[in-house]
Amino acid sequence: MKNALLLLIILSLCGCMHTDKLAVEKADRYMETLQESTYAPCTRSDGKKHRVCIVARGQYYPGGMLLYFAVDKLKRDGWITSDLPFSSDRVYADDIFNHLCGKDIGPYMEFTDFFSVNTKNREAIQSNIDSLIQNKKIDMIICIGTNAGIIGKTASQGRIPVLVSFSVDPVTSGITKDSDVSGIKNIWAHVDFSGSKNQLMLYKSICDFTNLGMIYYSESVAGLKGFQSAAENMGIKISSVKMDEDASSTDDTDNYYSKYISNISTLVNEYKIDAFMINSDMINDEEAADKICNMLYEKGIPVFGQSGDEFIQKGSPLMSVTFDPKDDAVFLAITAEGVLSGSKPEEMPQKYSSPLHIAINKTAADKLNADLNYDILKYADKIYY
Amino acid sequence: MKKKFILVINILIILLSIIFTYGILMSSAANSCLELREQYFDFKTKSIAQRLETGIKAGLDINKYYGIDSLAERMAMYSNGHICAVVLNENNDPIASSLNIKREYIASVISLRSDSEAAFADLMNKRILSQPFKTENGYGHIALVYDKTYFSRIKFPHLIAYYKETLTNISNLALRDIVSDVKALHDKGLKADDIASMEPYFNSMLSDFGLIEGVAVGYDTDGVSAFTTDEGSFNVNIVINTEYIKKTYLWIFFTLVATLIICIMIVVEFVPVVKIINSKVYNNDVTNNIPIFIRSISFFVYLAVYTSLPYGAIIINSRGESILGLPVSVCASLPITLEAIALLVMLSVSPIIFNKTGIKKYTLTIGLCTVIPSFICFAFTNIYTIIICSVFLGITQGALKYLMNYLISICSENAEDISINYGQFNIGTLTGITVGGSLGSIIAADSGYTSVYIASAVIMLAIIATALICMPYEYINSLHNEHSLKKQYSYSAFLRLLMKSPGILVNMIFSVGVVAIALMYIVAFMPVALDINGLSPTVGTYGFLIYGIAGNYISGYLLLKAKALKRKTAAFIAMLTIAMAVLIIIPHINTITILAASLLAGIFDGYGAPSVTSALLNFKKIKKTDSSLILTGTSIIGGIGNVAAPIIYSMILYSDNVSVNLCLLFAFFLFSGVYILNMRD
Repeated sequence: MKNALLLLIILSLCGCMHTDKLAVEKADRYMETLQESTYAPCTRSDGKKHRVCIVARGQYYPGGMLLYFAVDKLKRDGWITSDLPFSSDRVYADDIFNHLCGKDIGPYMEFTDFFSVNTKNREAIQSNIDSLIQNKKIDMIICIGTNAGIIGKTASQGRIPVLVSFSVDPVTSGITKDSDVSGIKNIWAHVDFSGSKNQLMLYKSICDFTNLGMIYYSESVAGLKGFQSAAENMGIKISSVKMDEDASSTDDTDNYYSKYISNISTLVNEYKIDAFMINSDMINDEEAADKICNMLYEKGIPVFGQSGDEFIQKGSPLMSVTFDPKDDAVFLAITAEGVLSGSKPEEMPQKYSSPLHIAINKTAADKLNADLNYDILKYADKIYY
Repeated sequence: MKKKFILVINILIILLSIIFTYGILMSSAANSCLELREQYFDFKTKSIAQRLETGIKAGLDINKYYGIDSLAERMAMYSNGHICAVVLNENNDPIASSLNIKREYIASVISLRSDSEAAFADLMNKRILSQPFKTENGYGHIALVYDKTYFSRIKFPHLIAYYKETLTNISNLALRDIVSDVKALHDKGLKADDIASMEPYFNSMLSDFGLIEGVAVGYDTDGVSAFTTDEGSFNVNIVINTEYIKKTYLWIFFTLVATLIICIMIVVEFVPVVKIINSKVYNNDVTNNIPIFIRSISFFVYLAVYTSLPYGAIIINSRGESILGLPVSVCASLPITLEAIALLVMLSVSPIIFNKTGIKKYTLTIGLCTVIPSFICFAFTNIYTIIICSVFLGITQGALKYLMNYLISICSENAEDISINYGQFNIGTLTGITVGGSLGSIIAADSGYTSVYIASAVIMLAIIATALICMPYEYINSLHNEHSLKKQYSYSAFLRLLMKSPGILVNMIFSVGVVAIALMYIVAFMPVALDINGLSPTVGTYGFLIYGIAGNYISGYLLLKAKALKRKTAAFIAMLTIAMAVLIIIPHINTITILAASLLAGIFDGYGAPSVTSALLNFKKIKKTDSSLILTGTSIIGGIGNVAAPIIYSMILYSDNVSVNLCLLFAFFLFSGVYILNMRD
């Protein structure tokens, strides 16, 4: 009887000692990651502040939002200690910089220079940056956008860290060699190849299409490769026409938009597109955008925007999906903290897929009988009419 | 002195019953408040899961989404410190959590493995709610771990007032969330008309929120203002589901009534025990106490066993635990299956153990075989401890059966005594199962399924203590010396009999075997059916009560009437009864059909089982055979039936087509009845 009772106790204890080992291991690993610290704020090795210059399109709202949230993250992590005298409501990058430049924002860093990019002043900016680097007046460059990134990389020549964000395809545009890490000394660029796929998936779920038309001037700015690759997997054809210039690099806007509309007609009549995308930098006129969209809506062809919701607001394209500047900004800021703490930019991970920032034109959607379910309406960031 | 002693004990028992009933009432009310809060948690986590799913369709990668941490924090903010949140990806890896999360909570959430359905699980005084969201490659989960005790606190005697306060609080929270959604839609630019057209959508979000009947939005609606335009105030209004509240009050009332019935039954069964204690204390004649003792001990032991035995399957299924790579549905049937096997094995080895240990140690062992595993199972609830505990509950029952058989055989002077004593044993068994199962349901409903094990352990401890005081060892030992030659079960002899007359085996299978399967309805079918169909454990309470009352009282009347019928006809009617029980639940398993089936199954237990056994034993061949062999045979075949039953019932209940499989079961019982009717000598 004693033996039987002993057996009873042993068997029961064996049962007790059974634990889900895998679950415990996963929990332990996760708790360890929580313990890892973020980059603690620090000064340069000589005790002075890190000096950062910014290269971006000045009057470009998504770029401004990105810069705002990056600065906000730096403040939350203690790199910037002063209050920020602006909010996130439709700020432009140069406005933010004007608030920050020359101000004492803490003991760790300061923003020293801002270069507003357009297609005509690239060489001048490169020259200025080169001069700043030679005179050791800046420690790091943050570039917002593909053109800004090319300028920053060319000017820097690997001498100081250059961080590039908001570039559609930094590999094709030559900013980095690879997507995982840059492979180029002192260069880092945010890479997100799933953005094109996600955009097409979302657009297709709203309005089913099989042949998407695009008009572009630069393959890398248009992210053409990414869209073509994503489209192939989804059974969508991309029909594209290349133009010699974008909307901001010409003074003869009438001629430019005539050509643009003519190209659209070609896409509709010859290529038989059933959806159209307004690519980045190709339209900067509201009236033109409105005219183009209405022309296509009459034929039952939905119009999407590649990035930015300026024209969505004015009532033109059906939907625009951009990368959420909030999340991209956090990724940029954490990378900047790492670089300022001593990590090498060329070794920092570049890949990050940010959630989409969705803007919808409800009037256009109703005109086209688009399948806008309530989940999408709740999830969207902005709804216009 | 004698009368005072009895009076004091009886008063004590009544007081304990009142305290227990009060505790159950408080617990029911508290659990109703908890249920309300859990409805809100479910609603909240579903909203977040829906948003994540939409984001994932739009390309969100949750493994690299910086916003996921703040999402977890927002979920935990509802109540400071009493809720933790964790988010798992499709590989069951934690990717975000609230700041107050603990390592053991994360491990428990991962172990839950709730897959594509929302799931609840208990972790000591915490409860886990796991809500799935669809990703590209499977399901991630948002899990809340919250303090049950905190969210079910209630103050006596203002139970109703506190419940109403909780109602108001929860409905206000839900209203606040919908107002916030409406305002957000307006702020991002959606026009009021389009928001108003989303009213069905808002209602669909609240479809699982039992407390809330619906929501109305618009300018012409009363309620809380979400935003104001030139046209006026755009309001949101929530309509409370008064039927839900009435139903809750009704369930609390039913639980109270069931508890009172159980307490009365326990008091009634305990009163004779008091007399026995009194006799023992005052050294009175104990010979007349044996039948009472047989009935009482079988009642209390089965009460203790059945408080926990039916619920192992539910715990295993709810946690999705499995062993040896077996499907969860098969693993859920293992406790009852192994319990039946252990019972069978114990029946055959009991004589050896009994002869070696003597009655006192043997009785103590019966008790410890329940107490220790039950305590351990309560402290460390997992599939292994549940199975081990069930095995030892089977050992307990097997050992008890042998003890009862032994006492009956040595204490009975003649066939009439045997019949009376067996009758007392059967009544005690059935009543014990009834009360135990009902009690387990009440405890499960109030404190969670794992609590049934501590209840079993505590009850059995009390039984051991009482048995050690009450058992008339000297008298029994004196009888043992007089009746020293006892017939032993002989398996080999039974096998030789079968080889000579295989027809006996077939007859036994379609009578005793089928009866054994049918008798397992109450423990192996009903609780699992209730759990799978989302019915309250309180329904189980009444299922057990109805089963027991039908088995004890209605069947007694039927047995009297059946004396006029031929044995085979009576047996056929018995099989028809259990077939009808299955037929009732084929169209739909709900409260009414389960209770009706329990009624018929209880009648079968009390009337049908003896009728079928009687029909079998009436065959010439069987009458000519040694009774001990027949008893051996019925025990073996019956035991196999008991073992097979949980597997059969699990396969039916977890199958894709439950109704079709229930039809097959119905046909099987009906066929058995027809077979018995046409059995030839």
